[in-house]
Amino acid sequence: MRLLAAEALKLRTTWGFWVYLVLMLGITALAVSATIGSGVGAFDDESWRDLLQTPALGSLFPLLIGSVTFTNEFRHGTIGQTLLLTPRRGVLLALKLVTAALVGLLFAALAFALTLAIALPWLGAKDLEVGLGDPVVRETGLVVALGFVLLAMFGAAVGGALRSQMGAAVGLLVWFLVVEFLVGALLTALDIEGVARYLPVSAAGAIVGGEDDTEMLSQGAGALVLLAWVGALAGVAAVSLRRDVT
Amino acid sequence: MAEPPPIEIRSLTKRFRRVLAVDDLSFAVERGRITGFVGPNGAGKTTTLRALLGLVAPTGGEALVFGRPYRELDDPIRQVGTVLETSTFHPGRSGRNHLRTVATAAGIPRSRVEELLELVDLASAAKRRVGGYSLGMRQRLGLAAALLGDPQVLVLDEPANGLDPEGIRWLRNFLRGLAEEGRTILVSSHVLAELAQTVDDVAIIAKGRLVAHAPVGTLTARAGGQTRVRSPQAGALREALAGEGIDVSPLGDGALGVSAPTQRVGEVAAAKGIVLHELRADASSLEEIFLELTGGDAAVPR
Repeated sequence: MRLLAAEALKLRTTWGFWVYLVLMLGITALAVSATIGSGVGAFDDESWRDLLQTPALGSLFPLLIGSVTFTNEFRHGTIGQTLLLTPRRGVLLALKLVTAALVGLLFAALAFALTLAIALPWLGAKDLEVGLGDPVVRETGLVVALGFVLLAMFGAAVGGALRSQMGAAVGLLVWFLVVEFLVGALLTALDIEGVARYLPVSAAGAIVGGEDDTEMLSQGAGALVLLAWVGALAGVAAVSLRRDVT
Repeated sequence: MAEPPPIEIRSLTKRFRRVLAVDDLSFAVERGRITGFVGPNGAGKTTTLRALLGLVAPTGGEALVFGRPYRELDDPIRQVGTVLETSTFHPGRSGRNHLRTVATAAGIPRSRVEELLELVDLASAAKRRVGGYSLGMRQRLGLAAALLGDPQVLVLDEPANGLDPEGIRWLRNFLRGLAEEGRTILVSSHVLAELAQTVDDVAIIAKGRLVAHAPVGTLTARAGGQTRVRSPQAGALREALAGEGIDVSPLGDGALGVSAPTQRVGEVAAAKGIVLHELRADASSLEEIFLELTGGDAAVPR
């Protein structure tokens, strides 16, 4: 427990954490405002659900902050002090994964709360019937939370495996923005269909949903596949962390 | 069964690819003593200390704290305080917050953080980012972090590195104070003279192997034991030392050069009730022993 409190204090007292948080909330606020502001035509259940899932646009932030919880330590050499306090590498890995999960949850909660704080009064002013009691609010809230938690853990596992801050950040961004689509396209071109949806970005996308889309996994399967990726990468991190800290 | 020594290195060997950094090294540090761990740059000091702290996995042998590997200690930082050679601070974090992260992780109250900031003279800089600290301030912050858990054992890797003469003097007095509280200290340096006035014992390594482990006085005696002594009763002192068959020669600045270890000179003077104003091992002779033992491959003392 006190190790988690120390991890929280470490994050709070670094600049990066606040930058990621503010950027993510800024993007969420912009996107929600843009959606409502430009909202012409019918406002139905589907668009209400989409609006509530706006925080998913900021998915890269839990991913990056997750990796930073680990790579920051290697970047600045604080890993030495951390290992003196938590000398068992396995315990450290578990600690970082849990920390990342909690940060993911925090980011999700804040982004979702901000979405509601903007959407509810604004839509209310437009005489649209939306309320906190809506089951879709709870559903989408859980989806965002689950996605962010898994993405943050994914980031932490990659950070532990690569140890390099730049390497992990660039690797994650390039994979999420470019490489996976290329790999997916290649697999399709090779007629190996159905495999691409098990890749991490597709699995993460499936959590947010697109139930009509037959190409995608179901929400539950997407979460499980992403969790499996976290597990596999955590395994790589466990081996990588055994290395000497010199 | 006898209590295990606070620090024990047993046949420790560490190979990094083709480099044999530590080669079958063994020595133990006795309770309540300051041991200098000295060797030229690249002799394997840092690797040995990092193996002791569980940061580096030995290729062979073991390094133990109170008879156990560091990783198996309960609440390690309450037992062993450490200052690592490389920086372990996030530059954007304030000195106070750095100590708080360590204290929080170890369940140490915040009041202790303030106590230590005072102790190492950093209270006024506590709010500043560590990135803006001088080297001396960082070393002091490192010492504060090492002392948070009030450990009985301290492992300090080159704590004098980069310090100015005033900083080195501060460190020397600080370490002496800690030793007087009964703590066991293992402190490394590549300059023997820097430690000679501070430590009780010296373990010297070169090319990963132990070349000497003895009380400082014994080492000086081995090289002819040059001691520098100054007394208002110089005549009486010369007579007393000569009476013991010890050679004495004036050093020109009013001090005497004595070919005996400091302890011996002090004892002789005390027996005759002679007042001493200065008594210390001649640093230049210590450096000669060091060079001789380490094969002349030593760093130049500052």
